[in-house]
Amino acid sequence: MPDMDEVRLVRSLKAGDRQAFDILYEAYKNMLLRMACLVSGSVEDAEDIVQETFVKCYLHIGSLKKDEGFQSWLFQILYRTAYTYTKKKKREIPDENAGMQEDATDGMTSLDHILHSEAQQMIHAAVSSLSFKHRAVVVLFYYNDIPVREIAKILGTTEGTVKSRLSAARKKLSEGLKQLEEGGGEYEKKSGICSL
Amino acid sequence: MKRSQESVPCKDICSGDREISRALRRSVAYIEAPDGLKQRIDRQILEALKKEEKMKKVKKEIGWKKLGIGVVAACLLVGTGCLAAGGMKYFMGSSSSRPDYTAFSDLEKAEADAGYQVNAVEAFDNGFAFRDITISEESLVNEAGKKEETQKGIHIGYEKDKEDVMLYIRRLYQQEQEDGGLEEEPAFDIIRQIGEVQAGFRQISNKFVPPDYELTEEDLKNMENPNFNLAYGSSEVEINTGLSVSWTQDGLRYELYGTDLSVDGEELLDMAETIITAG
Repeated sequence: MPDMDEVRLVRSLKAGDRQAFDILYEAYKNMLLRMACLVSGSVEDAEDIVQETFVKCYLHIGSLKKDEGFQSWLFQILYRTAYTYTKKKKREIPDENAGMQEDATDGMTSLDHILHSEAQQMIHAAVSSLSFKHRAVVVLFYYNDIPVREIAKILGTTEGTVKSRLSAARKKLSEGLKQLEEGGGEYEKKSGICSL
Repeated sequence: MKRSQESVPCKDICSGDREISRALRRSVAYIEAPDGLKQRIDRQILEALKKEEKMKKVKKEIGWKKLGIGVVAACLLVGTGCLAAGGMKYFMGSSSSRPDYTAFSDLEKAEADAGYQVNAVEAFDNGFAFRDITISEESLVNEAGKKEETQKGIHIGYEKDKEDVMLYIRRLYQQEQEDGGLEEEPAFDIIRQIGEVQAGFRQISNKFVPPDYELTEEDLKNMENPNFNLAYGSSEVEINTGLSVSWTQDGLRYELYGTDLSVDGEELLDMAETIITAG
């Protein structure tokens, strides 16, 4: 059910109301930052991604067809921005450092330094071992509690693909968490990122 | 308006997944947007809006220019300008892509068609020789797009070793003479006095771009240079260097021009002098 306050704010923003943008920013800033952080694995990168997302939101709000779909549209911008950002960053990483940035990780390093509890690190390491596309599905499903049908719309794919990615991710997460609980040595060597 | 993770309805999460969900949220719960983030966003939006506004302005200005430039290549260097009085007015022209005459002896027919006699030569000392003649429809257009005066222009083509030089001739418009000519004469790189005629050489960097082309920062910077010309309308980005010598003689406007030529300004002025003294 769309939030009527939000719909009104979106309409005001479309009409050029800057204050509406400020309110929407306040409502979404932390949620987007945390989502970006989970997807990119870096607080610094997440800030850049969120900055770009809100700028695109402001400049292209006119292209949003259904005002009720603002949140999905905003998430869509976030994921597309994050995808482009992480791809670009991956290209910029010199080969000698590639050991820290294997295919599945797409840049997960900085967050490890600020995760305190072992459980948090386990979750983070398990999520970070997934590819970007699988990670996006995991974040939207587990973090945002968004139904599969809606995730498919946000990511521009089919429900079947989302379910398939979710199933694969769930399996990998379970294996990763299990390995971590059993000692984590092998997993640590494989991923090159876990700091347990 | 309040956003809460817990307020989002969940239909797909089974009980076994809730542990992952909680752990995932806890792992980033402490992360909050820093104060400076909003300022960075506002600054970037402002810069983007300024750039957009600047591009709109430039495109609007170029939009007028391309009216004069796009239709006939001959107008590339002379076809734009505004009159000192009576508001913004532009020169437009159109012609067939096929020449009307292919023999120099047909020049008299072309003159009869255009309604005036011109100075022209069949060949130049540097080897450029006559190729063909094309007649164009020329007009002086006001800002509303209305044609205020019309006439015919003569384009004489010369060639040498795959290089082309065109001689474009038209009558001065009535308003051009009454209002004291062009408000802004182009800034010439070289001026040569030939008898009573003053001929000016000018070199311009031309960039032709597709209609949906987005201007770059470099383009915007170049636009401030009077010797840079940007025109919309080509299918792809094309860059060339335009060289021209222009003068007014016996109530006629002459323009001898070409692009990416091996001749320099002085040599083009020599060619112009041959034409000026031919009469």
